[in-house]
Amino acid sequence: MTDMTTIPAMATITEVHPLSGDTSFFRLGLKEGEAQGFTFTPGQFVQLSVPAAGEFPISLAGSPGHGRELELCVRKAGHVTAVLHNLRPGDPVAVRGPFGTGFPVERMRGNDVILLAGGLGIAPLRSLFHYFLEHREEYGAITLMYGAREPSAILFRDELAELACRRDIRLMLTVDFLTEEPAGGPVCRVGLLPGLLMGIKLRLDQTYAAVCGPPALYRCLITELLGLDFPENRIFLSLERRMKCGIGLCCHCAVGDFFCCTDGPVFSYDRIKEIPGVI
Amino acid sequence: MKKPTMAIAGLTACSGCQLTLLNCEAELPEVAGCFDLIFFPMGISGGDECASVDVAIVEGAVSTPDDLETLLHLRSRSRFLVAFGTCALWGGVAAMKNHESRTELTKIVYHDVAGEVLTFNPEPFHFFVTVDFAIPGCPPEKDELLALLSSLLRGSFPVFPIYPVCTECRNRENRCLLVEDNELCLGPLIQAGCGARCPAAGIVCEGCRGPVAEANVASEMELLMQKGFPREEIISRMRRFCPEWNYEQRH
Amino acid sequence: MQKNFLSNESFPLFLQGLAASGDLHGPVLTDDGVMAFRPICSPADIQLDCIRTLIPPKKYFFPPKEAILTYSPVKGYQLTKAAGKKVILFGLHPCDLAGIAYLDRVFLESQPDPLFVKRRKAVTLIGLSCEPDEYCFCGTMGTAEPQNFDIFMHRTEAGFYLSAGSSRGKKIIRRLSVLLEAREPPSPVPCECKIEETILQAATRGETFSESRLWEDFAGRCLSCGACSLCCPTCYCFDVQERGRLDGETAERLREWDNCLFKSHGEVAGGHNFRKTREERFRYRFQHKYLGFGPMRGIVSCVGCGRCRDVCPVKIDLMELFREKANIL
Repeated sequence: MTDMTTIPAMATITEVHPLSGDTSFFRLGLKEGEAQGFTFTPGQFVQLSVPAAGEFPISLAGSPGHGRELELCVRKAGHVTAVLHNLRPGDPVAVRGPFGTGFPVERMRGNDVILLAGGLGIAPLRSLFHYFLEHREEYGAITLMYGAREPSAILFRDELAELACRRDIRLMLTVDFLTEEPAGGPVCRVGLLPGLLMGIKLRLDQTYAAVCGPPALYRCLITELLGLDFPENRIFLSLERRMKCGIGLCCHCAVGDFFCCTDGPVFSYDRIKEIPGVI
Repeated sequence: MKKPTMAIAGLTACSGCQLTLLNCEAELPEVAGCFDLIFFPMGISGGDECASVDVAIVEGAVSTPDDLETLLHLRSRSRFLVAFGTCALWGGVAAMKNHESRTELTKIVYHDVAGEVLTFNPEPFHFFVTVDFAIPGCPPEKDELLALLSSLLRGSFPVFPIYPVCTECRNRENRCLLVEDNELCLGPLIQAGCGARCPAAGIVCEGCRGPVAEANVASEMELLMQKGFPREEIISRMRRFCPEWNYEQRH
Repeated sequence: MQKNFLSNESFPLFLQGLAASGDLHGPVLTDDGVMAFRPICSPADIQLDCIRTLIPPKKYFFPPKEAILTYSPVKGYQLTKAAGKKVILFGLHPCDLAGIAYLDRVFLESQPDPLFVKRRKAVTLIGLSCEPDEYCFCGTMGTAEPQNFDIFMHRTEAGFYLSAGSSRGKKIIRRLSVLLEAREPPSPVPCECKIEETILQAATRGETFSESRLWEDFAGRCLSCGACSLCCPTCYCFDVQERGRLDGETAERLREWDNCLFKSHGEVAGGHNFRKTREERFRYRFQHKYLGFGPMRGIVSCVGCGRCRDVCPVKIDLMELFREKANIL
């Protein structure tokens, strides 16, 4: 078994399909023997290497229970992801990790959970959501609120349509703009994500919130949650920073006196709220 | 895998950038092996100037109607257009007098036939077309060109770090000509990549690679003026390779 | 009593003796007149009165740019092999030794860095006492009690008092003991440094000087030339790049010294910058140097060597923050 912290372990792309105009789903298989017992906590990330192009940090979007099989949701945002998007099943990539601190699934056990995802923020929350579904009886009410810019930007549409039929979870979708009539997708509202929280009944002392999305979303979501008297130490956010090494060395991802790559990327709001410019 | 097709050409320039490629002697066979050079008038006779290519690597500034036509033609038939060298990226040496009257300048040089001269102020590519990637330098560095070619083989562009010549200069443990010798060195303003070649040889940075992103121009001007250099002299030095600077820029 | 004194007359022979344990490097003046750690060709080249070199000794363990991984389709990613050539590094002032001690904590403790480990093991550290100048503010911040050396040489007019700080150092001293004699070492003179106490107090209370107007002043002047961190014995931020080779198959991954005042330091894919302004980057720099991040939280990483103040083309000096506050108080 290789040391997956410093040396990327080889993996093969086994599946690629587009989720939206600029975002695709990638399934990877880690090479046997290289990554025995690979496991992670939802919210953790890996450093994905695209040979000759470089490495980038990416949240694990699948359930932790899949062993050597990893699921990622990658937007074409920089030069490395652009090369990744040219790759096909069978092509080699490599993985370091998993890194960082994920969502506190142990602490959340026995409680209600509300997951709030904006745009690409659905990726780590999908991992968390799948984890909850696989351990359904250990958690109370599960709500997933997901907002995207427009219907065509909703990621994992088919999967969400299936989830919408389940009775043991609550799924609420919203889009900022309704540009076209969504064809065959799940039902969604029009409006900003924080709007979904309005009028919602929460058992404040028994609920955890997991939030992931762009910085602007955090600001209004936090205001909304705090307005509902949601306790600060029960709100968990996943922060995006420039994590180059993943192991607290390169110093690019510092937030306050934390390293996003080791202390985070998931933080409870009360730990980071005083840090200027954190969200 | 199909070899990427490539065109290499020059507009108003000295051909020095194209020569950089020919100077990669050790790597040339490999380059020739992995790219299909469709059009390269300086290096290969009889190229096809109409065929579409994956990448066009073009040097020079745009200063004649012919230049512009060539540039538009290359843009429309290439998937990626690379501005190759400081002239293509910033205007370069040819553009150093862009702030003066063109009519007067042509009169000085061409006297009676000045009226027949059809050239206009030399300008960089991005004034006219979308540029996909640029390599600065007068001439560009071999390493950066080879890194570009390697990336192109994989359908992408390389990432060059954004910092000024000073960074490379200090790393080489050079004597600082600006601080120690009070010389007019443009190192703090200029994009690195040359390995601080000139300062390592005791020559100030003349700025041939053009501005680094977020150059603190105003502070460098203040510093140089404190050292006794007149503003006009500093500006004229800065214009040598890049005609347009924002002299008030701090961030 | 142990033999511990090396006379000035025996010093050249001692250097020759050191060279038997590895390549001897130390402070020399380059042809351009820059003080730099370089291989010592002749004992006469050594600059015993060197106040500070331009680039600190970190370059021996953590070079400005190095390949860290290679990639080939058959072998995948592999660690590069650091040379690990034996080096005797002479003339390290207590501040530089303290700098190395800090880097040791970063690169050897929680997540040992294979390349750093290899190089670090191959270098023997020979400390040398010094006379501070107006840029230094070392005090006890690493200097009164030298640390992390194999051998430390306290220089006096007649010669050097040696002490060993490791078994490797003891071995060398034993091997070269014919050159030494036994003498009572002079009692150490305490080093006066007012600013040091101010710094430590400010760091302890987590001072960020958030209201200071100096930040704006610094940001307006800073040329982002990178000198302050390249020349800092404890700055270790690095950037990582990958370069494919022309064969279209193999590649190598490089790491390179980075600087928190560069535009790209806080940038993420897509162009969003978490430290968009130079002012934010200065605050970040201050925080890293004096308050620390992650596992190094609470550790002042400034060793008082004075390099950043000396090399800055526009004479930015973070000490002003402490001084300004001290004046107000």
